[in-house]
Amino acid sequence: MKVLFFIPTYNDRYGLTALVSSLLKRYGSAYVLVVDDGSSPAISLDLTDRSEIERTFLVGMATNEGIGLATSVAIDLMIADQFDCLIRLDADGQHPQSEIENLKEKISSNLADVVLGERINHNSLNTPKAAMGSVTKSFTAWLGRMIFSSHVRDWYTGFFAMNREAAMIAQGAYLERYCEVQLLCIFHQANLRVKTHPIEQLERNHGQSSINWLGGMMIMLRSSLMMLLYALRMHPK
Amino acid sequence: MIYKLLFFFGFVWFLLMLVQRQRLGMDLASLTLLLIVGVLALSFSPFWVEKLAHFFEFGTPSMAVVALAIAGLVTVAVILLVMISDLKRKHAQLTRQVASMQLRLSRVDKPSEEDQISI
Repeated sequence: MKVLFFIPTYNDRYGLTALVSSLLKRYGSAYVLVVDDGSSPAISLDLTDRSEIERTFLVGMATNEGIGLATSVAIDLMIADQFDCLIRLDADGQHPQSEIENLKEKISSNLADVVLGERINHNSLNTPKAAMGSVTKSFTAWLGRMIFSSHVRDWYTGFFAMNREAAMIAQGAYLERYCEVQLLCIFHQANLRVKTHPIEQLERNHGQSSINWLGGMMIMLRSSLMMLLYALRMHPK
Repeated sequence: MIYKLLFFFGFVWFLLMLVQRQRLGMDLASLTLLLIVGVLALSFSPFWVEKLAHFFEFGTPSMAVVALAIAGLVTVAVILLVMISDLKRKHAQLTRQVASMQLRLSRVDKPSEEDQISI
């Protein structure tokens, strides 16, 4: 099975080379695409192994375009190079590599078209920001249940795998800046098999989230509007 | 109250139509929705209506005048946002095409060149 790992990054540079190298060592025939989404200064990878350099792509955007465009670039590469599976991970080390096999397994054994790493330790009420995040997550999951009869509880996870069929369906869409919810709407609408796998999200190995309190609210508003479009059968064709 | 609700749902429907026809991005639609919620919330407070009327230097602090001014501003904002959305979409399409072409080129060059691609 030909696997493409996709790592979008915006100023997350520390530990990125180690992450890429670790993925390539663990999966001997896999490729990695890093999309630098307008970091300043631009991100570079210090890979030394020839085989690892050969299996790594680094695309640098001049400005910050958002996850949506980065995901579209990854999907285009996946389809053009006939990869069978696209796996997205975050650059900050929050997604456990030990769970990749579980996601990949469901795709390779044709049990699912899309597999989400559903964060089970992400519902916290410790700070106002965390509480806002939990409310947003629960509300979106409730909307998803109402509109798509979806069992997905974590619509905002950035840790997922998809097969070619899912990628080809997503390729035709114009993906918004924060595209996780939009992608799931597209997959549900196309009646793809969306499965979840519980994961324990790790602590960030550096830095902090670029999404603030207000940003979180805007994401919830955007997601609700997006789902409303699907509920009213008014989604972009 | 009923007119305000009708106006609100009509406006939301209008926004959704624009998004469906891909004339307005989701982020800008959300911003516009926030704006209109703000305007509706404002209409419940005579104090702020008076403040706004004073700010715009209207002769009478009437909600009708303020609403007209705000409606004009919202209309202009929507038109501008539609234009911005169009440009953003075209920019994104071009960036995506260039990225895909650069990736294809980098595959040909590998491993002789470093795979840093600038767009």
